[in-house]
Amino acid sequence: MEENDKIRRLIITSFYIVILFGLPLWWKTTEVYRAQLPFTEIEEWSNWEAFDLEFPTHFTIYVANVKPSTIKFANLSSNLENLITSRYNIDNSKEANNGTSQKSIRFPVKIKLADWNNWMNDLQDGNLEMGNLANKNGQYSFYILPRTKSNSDTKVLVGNQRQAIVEINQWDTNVIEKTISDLIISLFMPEQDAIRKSIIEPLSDSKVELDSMRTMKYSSQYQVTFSLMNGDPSNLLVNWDIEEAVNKYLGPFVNQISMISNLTVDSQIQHYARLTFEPNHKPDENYFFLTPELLPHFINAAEWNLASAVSSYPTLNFILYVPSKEQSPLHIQDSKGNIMENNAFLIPRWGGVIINNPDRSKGTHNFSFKELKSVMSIFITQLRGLLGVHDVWIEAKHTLGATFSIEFVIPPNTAVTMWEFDNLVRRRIAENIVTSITTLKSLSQLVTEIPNMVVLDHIQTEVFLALDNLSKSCKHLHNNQYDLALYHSKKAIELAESAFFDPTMVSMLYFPDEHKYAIYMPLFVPISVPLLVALQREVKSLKKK
Amino acid sequence: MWQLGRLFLFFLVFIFIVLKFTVAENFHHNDNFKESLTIKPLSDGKLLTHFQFNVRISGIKEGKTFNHYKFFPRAIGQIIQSYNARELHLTFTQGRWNYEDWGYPIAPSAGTGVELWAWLWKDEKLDKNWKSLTNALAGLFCASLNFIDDTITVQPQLSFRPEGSYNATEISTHAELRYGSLPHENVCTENLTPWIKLLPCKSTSGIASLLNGHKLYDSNFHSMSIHVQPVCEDSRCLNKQLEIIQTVSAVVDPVRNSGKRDWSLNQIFGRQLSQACPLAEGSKLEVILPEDCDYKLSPDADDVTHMDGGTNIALYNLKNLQLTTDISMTWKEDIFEYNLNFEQPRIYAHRFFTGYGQERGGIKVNIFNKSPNISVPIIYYDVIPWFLKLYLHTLKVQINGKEVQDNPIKDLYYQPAVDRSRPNVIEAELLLPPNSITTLSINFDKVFLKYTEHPPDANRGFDIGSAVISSTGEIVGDFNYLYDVVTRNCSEDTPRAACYHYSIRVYTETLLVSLPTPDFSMPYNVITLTCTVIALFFGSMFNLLTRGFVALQPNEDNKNKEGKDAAK
Repeated sequence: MEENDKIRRLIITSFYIVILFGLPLWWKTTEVYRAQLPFTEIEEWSNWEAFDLEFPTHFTIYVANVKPSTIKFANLSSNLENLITSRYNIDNSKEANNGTSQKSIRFPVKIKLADWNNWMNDLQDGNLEMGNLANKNGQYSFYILPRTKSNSDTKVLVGNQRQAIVEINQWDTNVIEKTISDLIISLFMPEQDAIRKSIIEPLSDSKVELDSMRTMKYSSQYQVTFSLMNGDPSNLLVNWDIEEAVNKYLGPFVNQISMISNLTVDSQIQHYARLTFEPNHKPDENYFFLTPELLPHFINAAEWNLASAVSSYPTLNFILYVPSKEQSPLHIQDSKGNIMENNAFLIPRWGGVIINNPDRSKGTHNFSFKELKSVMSIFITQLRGLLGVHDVWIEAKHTLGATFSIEFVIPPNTAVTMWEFDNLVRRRIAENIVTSITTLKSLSQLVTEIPNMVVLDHIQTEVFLALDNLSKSCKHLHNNQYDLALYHSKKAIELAESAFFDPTMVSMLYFPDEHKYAIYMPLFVPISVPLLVALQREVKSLKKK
Repeated sequence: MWQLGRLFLFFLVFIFIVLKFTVAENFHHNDNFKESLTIKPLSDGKLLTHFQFNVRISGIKEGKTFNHYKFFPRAIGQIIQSYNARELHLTFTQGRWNYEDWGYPIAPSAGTGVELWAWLWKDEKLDKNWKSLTNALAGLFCASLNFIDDTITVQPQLSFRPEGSYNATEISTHAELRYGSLPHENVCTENLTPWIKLLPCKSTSGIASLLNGHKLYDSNFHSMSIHVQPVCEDSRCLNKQLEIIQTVSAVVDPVRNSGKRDWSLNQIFGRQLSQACPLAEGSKLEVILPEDCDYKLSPDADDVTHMDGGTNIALYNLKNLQLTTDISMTWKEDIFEYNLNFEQPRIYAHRFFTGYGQERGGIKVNIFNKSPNISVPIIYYDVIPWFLKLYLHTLKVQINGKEVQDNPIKDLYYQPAVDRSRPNVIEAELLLPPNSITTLSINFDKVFLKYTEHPPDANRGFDIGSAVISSTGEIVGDFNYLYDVVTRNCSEDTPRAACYHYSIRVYTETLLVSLPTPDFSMPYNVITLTCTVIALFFGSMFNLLTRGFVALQPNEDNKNKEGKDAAK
């Protein structure tokens, strides 16, 4: 009998052993497929431990060879470097004191001096192109010479490339040092503040700046749509020479900006475009007006065909609105009740609107190429704002004060100057890096939080490639190669977003755990009952002994 | 002196013409828009209303994109340009056009549901473009066009030739045709609203203001379509224009309400006409007058034209419209009496299922040729989904119920289905003898589908789209019945020869097939049953292994007890 008991116990234990090994196997085989994501690496990036962000700038200062040369320039470059770096760092240390900045962003400056021997001739020829052919983003030249007229102002002539001529009123080392450092700081400080802020507080909703609210989120392509909206065609038919206007006025801008984002332009005319509300009426002067409170309701998105049927890229809409006869002339009033002269307004992250009240006597009106010039110049200003182009020199002038007078070789606002373009490139690089890191971070959070989500291999590949592009972008930044850095940051953001918005990343498509248990219930319960009963019986008989 | 005066007068007239021309040129310099509404009393007392809106955009270069839209809808322009479509035809239909009573429709209608066909330029992305095209149109028109996938898409070989003007060889070497239809699609206001938004005047003015969803969808038949195709600008076709034709046809039944066939705009649309669309170059309302004469139109028409076939058309030029007007037509009769001797169309067809049970069945098509002495060549086109397995050897043709010696099938294109990837396609070129009924029949097996392949309303059955009978040719002899088809081709600037070329498509009924439907709780039942069987097996095995068995001897009670102990 002893023998029998032994065998029976052995059998029961072996059943239990099989089940104990079987359970993990069952668990493994019924699991959803999850490719391993580099969580630690993403974590490192989101804590800004993985890299140093550097935005280096190089300046070459061509000093006019003024005779008799009374001034020694030997220390000028190192003095300037120290001065500028210390002033950058004042702000840096301020941030550090707040305890928020553990993140390493640096803005190293390098200054080189060069002689400008035949400056007299160059000035007369207006030949400023010299030595600029190898110039690229982050490398600038200042040509300094003494002011010829005895005027107290310092005059700056901004060139069409990355250079500027500075006429300094007092030909003295200290003054030169101060002027140049003031110039550089007021040109680059706002940008650095913005970059630093975007990195330190990437999702700070509490202190949303006007500037970042207006600028569109980055996309490699934007659809720009010009719409001529006619309130009532029954008494005024409108048309416009938009094709010519777009080609002539907007073409240069589109070409220049295409390195950052491609713009595809189209236009349409919409009739019977009505407002959803009645504008205010001023009876004594017989005009209609919109107050700033009414402007958010201006766009009638339901009836004006503004959406694109094919493009999934963000659309920038520019509307030239011709009000109906019953509502014209229509003006925009500011909060003080004055009529705004350009009759235009900008809608942040959406587009711009211009209201035009053409002559209705003929029954038709064609906005000619010439007439569209003023319209397009307003649209281009709005477009610059929406794409995040900053008037760096004009902003710098505000901080520099009245002692500086600034002139341009080519007028601003028609297109983008190289200074503005570089500024935009640097801001977009920073923004792209920050956005792709936050996207990857959200992705890893999502995957950790939802255990039932399937993570396919291509998601893993995209995440790895995004991280790779991020580090490449930082490396190129470090080496002062902004073009490559922009290219890789664009890649990184595209990969991160395509991984995040991948259609397979939907947890609900798969079985939740409860369903799994429910389905195996009819198997597990009847099997476990005899097993448990046998176990109980054995325990009892052992106790009896 | 007198001559000089005349010269001067000439000069003045010339200046005037030039001025007028340039002013007009300035405004309509590259787009033009026309709208028209045609109303036709049908022989059974119903009323056909047909809205047509044409926008032409000129100066389109082949392969060159245009981005600046005036009247042409931007949404459609973007779609055809991004997906390389050369021609696009999209029709939403509800109800069936009754060919025997109504003749042929003014614009080709389609079978119930949605029909989409497009000629796409050949490139490596063609199939991707077709997929994107269906998706973009689905988004634009709030319709399930995105369900046109590989299992539905067909490349017809004989039917659905290009309708725009082309060099015929050029299009067939550089473009490919894709066709898809969804017979189960319902058409309603959510499809009409985006359609109206494509019009230059929307529904605010012009005849589009009569498009009232409540009345339109309360009709016996309605069809809404968009056709984009190139047209020649001049007779030698050196310059091409791109044309978009938007149509809405509806057949309403005034007899149902009043017992009379009298109608007025207000009665059929619930609205009146106030003004033409100010952007339209031409805006007209035509009433095709019936042959009996005791009717009265009010107000009087601006013009009545006599067509070659003997039909009269009353024309209202809406550009001259000043006040809100209601156009009405009344007959001097107390009650409408059905006309039993109406003229039947020459060709029409009916299709139905044969057989019974859930295993196999057959399809039978009767094609009628009613013309007394003309043989008519036609192309029969039918797409049968893959879940009906056709047997080509069972394809039979009978004429007037008899097998015939010489096969009326002149050419046959047959694509067998591949499960879950492409449908069956039959295209047959037939010559219909005069005054005959030609019957085609073919048998099929029904496939048992996977349980996830059934729609949520599985017991309703599956819709099979219409078969299409197309016929093209020169009009000879009496063509009265083809009048409506002819007028569509004919306009002032088309040559007369093109006018006499007809192209009709006759759609048969859609069919509903019920496939063997499983019990949908089956998978869980199977799981439970299997688990129970395994558990039973396990339980008995376990007991067998862990229990001791001792042979019982009936006399020995003591041993029995021992045996029980051993079992413990």
